[in-house]
This record gives sequence, C-alpha cells and structure tokens, in this order.
Amino acid sequence: MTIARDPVLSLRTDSAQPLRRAQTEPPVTWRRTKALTRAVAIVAVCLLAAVAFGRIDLVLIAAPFAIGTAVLLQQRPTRVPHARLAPLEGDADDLTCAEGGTAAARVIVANPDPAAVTALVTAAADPWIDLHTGKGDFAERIGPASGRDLVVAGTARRWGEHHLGPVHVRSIACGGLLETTVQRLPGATAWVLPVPDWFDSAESLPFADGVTGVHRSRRGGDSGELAEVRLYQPGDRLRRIDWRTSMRTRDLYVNATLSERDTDVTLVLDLQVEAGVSGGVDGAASIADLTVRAAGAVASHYALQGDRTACIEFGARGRRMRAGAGRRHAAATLRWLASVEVPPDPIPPSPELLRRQLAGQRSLNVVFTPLLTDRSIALVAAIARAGRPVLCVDTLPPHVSPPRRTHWTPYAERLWRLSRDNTVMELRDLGVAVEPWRGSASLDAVLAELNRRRYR
Amino acid sequence: MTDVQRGLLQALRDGARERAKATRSGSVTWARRVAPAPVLLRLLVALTLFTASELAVPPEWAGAGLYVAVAALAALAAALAPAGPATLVAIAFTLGAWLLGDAFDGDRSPTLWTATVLACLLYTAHSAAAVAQRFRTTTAMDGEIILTWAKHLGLVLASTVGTALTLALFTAYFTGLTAGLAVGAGIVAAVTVIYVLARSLHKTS
Repeated sequence: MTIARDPVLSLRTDSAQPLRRAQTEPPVTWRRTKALTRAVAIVAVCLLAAVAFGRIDLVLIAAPFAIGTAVLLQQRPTRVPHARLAPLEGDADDLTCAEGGTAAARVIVANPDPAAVTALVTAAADPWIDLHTGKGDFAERIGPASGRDLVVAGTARRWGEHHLGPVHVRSIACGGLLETTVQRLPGATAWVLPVPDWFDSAESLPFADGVTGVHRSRRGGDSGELAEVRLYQPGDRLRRIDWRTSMRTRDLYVNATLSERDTDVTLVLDLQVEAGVSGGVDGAASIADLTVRAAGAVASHYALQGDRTACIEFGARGRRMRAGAGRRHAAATLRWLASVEVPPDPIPPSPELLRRQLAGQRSLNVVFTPLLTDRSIALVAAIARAGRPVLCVDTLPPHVSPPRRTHWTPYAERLWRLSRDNTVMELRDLGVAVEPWRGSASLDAVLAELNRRRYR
Repeated sequence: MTDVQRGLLQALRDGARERAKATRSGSVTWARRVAPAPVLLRLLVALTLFTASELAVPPEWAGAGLYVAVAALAALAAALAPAGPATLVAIAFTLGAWLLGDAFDGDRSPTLWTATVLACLLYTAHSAAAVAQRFRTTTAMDGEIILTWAKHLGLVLASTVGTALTLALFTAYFTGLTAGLAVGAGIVAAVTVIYVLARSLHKTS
C-alpha cells in the first residue's frame, strides 16, 4: 500500500473547517463624489432648460458650475496616495508610554501624483486612550509629489495593553469632486505602564542573607551597623579598635558590626476578582488598579535598592516574573504589571501550587489581596503557618461597596465588613501583618514589627 | 412596594442617571473638540442656500411662512448632511422656485444681475458642501485647504460676473436676440462642457 492510499491519511480532522480565502483589503482607487454628479446634473438640466425655454438666465446659472468643474478637473490625480503607520520614534512594532502620558504614532502619507490632495485621517482608539483634539480626526493638504508625517496621539488614561487604531485615511482631490476609497491601517498596540504610587521605606527587611545590600543581617562583617563592643581578638582590624572604651577599661576593645546584605522579596498579586469602577490615572481606583500600582511601587523601591524582586500572579493565568534587581528589572516589572488581566470568569487558582513557586524559606513575601475569597485567605494563612515572613497588603479600595438593591443592602454590607474584620484579626493572630495600602511609607510600621519578631 | 419592585425601580433610576451622564459628557466632549472651519463651511452652505431661495421668488412668496419654512428646512438639511442628496435637492428647489416664480408672476421681470447673484450663491453653497462633505464638525482642517477653496471660488465667481457682463452687453445692444442667444449660448456651452469634462475624465497622464 502506498502512502497516498493510506486510509489514515484521508481521515477528516476533528474540527473540519471549510477553507476560507484570506481577507484582503480592497485596493484603494479614485472615484467620483456626489458633488461631481451634482455639478454635472445641474449644468445639464440648466442648459437643457435654457435651450428648451429660451432662457438666458439659466445659462448664466449653469456657468459657474461648468467653469468651476472644468477648472477643478484639470488638476485630476491619477495615482493613489499611500499611507502607512509608524511609531513616533524608532522602529518598534508597539508603542510604550506611561499612564497619563501620550501614546502617539506617525501616519506617513506619500502623494506620488503631481496634483495636490487633501488627506483626511480619522483614528479610533481604546476607551482608555483619549485622543487629543486635532490629533485623531484631521485633514491636511499634501503637496504635489511629496509626503507628510502626520501624528495621531492621545492621552493614555489607564495602564494595560491598549490599541491605537484602526486609522482610516481617505484622500480628496479637485475641491471635493474626487475621492479615494478608505485605506484602513490596522493600528498599533500601545503598552501603557502603570505609574506606581510613591513608596519609600526606611525599615530593613528581615532575613537579609544575600551577598551585599542595604539591610542589616545577623552575620558580622564590615559595615556601619554596630552589633557590640567586645574584647580585641587576634585578626581584628586595628581601625576597629574603640579607643575611648579601651582607655577607660585599660584593655583593647573593638567595635563589632553586622554586615549589610540584600534579600529576596516575592510579591504575590491576588487577581481572582475585580471590583470597583476604574476611573483611570486621575479617577477612582479599582482592585486591579490598586494592586498593580502598589506592587509597582514596592517592586520599584526594592529592585532599585538592590534586592532581588520577583512577582507571581495568584489568578487564572498564574504568570511569574523572575527575580532580579536593578533599574532594568524595575522597568521590566512595570512592563510585566501592564499585562495583568482579571478575566471575568476565571479558573480558581490553587494555593498549594503557588506555595511551591515561592522562593527560599527566607524571602519576604508581600501578598497584595483584597481578602475577598477564601482561597486568598487560605494562601496567606498557609504561608504564615509555614514560618515564612509574610506581609499582607489590603487592596480593597475604601469606596468600593455593593450596589444598593434593597433596603437590607446596608445592613448586609455592615455584617460582611464585620466578618472581614474578624478574618483580618484571625490573620494577625497567625502572625500575618495586614495593612491597607496608603502609599508612601505605609508598610514601615508592619516591617518594623516583622523585624522585631525576627531579632527577638 | 416589594423588594423586587424596589430593586427594579432602583435599577431604572440608575440607568436613567447613567444615560443622562453619558449624554452630558458627550455634549461636553463635542463642545471641547468642535473645530471652527467645518462648522463655518456648513453655516455658509445653509446661509447661501437660504438666501438664494429667498432671492429666487417674488417678495410676496418670500415672506410666506410655508415657503420660508421649506426653504429653511432644505438649507438646514444640506448643511447637516453635505455628503448626501440634500444639497442637490435644495439647489433644485431654488431653481424650481425661480422658474415657477417667473411663470406665475407675470409682473415680475428678473434682471440678469439677479440671476448672476443667484448663480454665485448656488455655486458657493455647492463648492462649500463639496469641501465639507467628508469632514465632521470635529475635524481639524489645515488652513491651506480653506485658502485653496477660497481662491478657486473667487476665480469662478469672477468668471461668472464676466460672463454676465458679456451677456448684458449682448442683450443691451441686440434686444431682439435674447431667445436666440440663449439657445445658441446653451448649445455652445453644453458642447464645451461635454468636451472639457470628457477630456478631463479621460486624461491619462
């Protein structure tokens, strides 16, 4: 049996789809407008009536239409202008900007014809990109045999993956008597990075056991953090001798210091549920907004400080950002945070699976959660029971409340909030520091508490 | 009132409030984005068409409420939708009124200059509608577009006045030749226009 006759090869696939021809854009061509039809019709009717009724005034009425149309059509273009989309700077495929910044692209229109044309550019964008006045719907004159760079721009109002486009370009010539069919440019993806809240923390982190950093560790070493004043031992450096104590006690004493090291910080983002209506960078924040901006702030602070920072999603997608430090890693983390999504009907994530992804036993785990699901509470409790240092940042915005449906709604909400407070207290009993996100220095108190517990 | 009814009422109230808010914000956005050039062009279309239709008929017709309402409606429709057939309808209405006014009002003797003004007004409306037909009221227009249109309009209106002057001279010196001149001029003009249009449309280079 030959291969061609093998019955297995001629079986139909499970999802047999009829072959469809690929959708291609129709070619752009010149065509007449209703204005040209109108002018020709008026001229014809007026001249016919003038001949029929012997009226000289109708000839006069038809005269400007005939003269104007003839003059305009003398400069009739034959070749079609070509438009393409390009980023404002460089040649990357997608655009990147910060929240509240400007997402912009260039529309390059080239007119190969010796007749001047008018390019009408009409752009659309995501609801989160607010097109600037005059930068999303405008008409520009393109000179004969020349090209122009036109800018389509808008304000990006919220972090995430947005789309700038499609952009429709139509060319008009001969004073509106001729026009091209619409050339549709598909647009470009605009990555809008979250603008993290301002966060600064003067507190050291517990379990600083890396190589070098800014946190006080439990091991001795050269640094400025005083551990004790002790008797001189052979091998101690002479510049460490505490001369004042030595003079007083008549024995050689040295200042022993603790080394300063870096640590691992793992940020866990609870993305199971979304609540609240996001108002963009200047408006109210939803749970996802608060989570992303708070995580961005904490990640940027520690990554720039030299600590290894990793991010893990506790949601349907379960993505993970590798650990790293430095300015580039902080920028990469913001880009990773910009692609956070909360699907409307997510697959519930597994706390056990996430626990296995956490770094070593000695890293600081910061869980950003609105504490709205049992799974997230179970996750936080499980991390705490395992003896890992865990910090819980409450990301439920204070203004978010269920819609009022009956007169029982406020009472039900009050009961629910009391129950949530009880859950928070139970977590605190387990040793979890729960703190609502308040921006700058909002975690100092709980970090100090963690340190005290560590060095007790 | 039961809880279900109260909830339904609340949902209806919320919906109405959201719709009102969306309408208000839409109006505010439009007012913020509106561009002067396309709006002025549309205003020019409406004004010239209305003036032409008032000029085309005897004064007693021009003052009649029904005529004014129909003329205003036609002019307004042409200004609101310059890309549609409304402009042609408004021009045809004016021309019809011009011919009917002559037919039914025997005492009226429209001068050549009235016809010239009418022709200028109608062509201004037509060319403004042709420029504005693809522009929305929020389209920011390059000043060069308006300048080119204004230069073209000035050239055509000057030619029309020149044509009228030539015709006036002819009709003044050869009074009996008006009807014959109309027929001759009409035929010559028709042949010229057909030739020019055909040449322009078949121009390959």
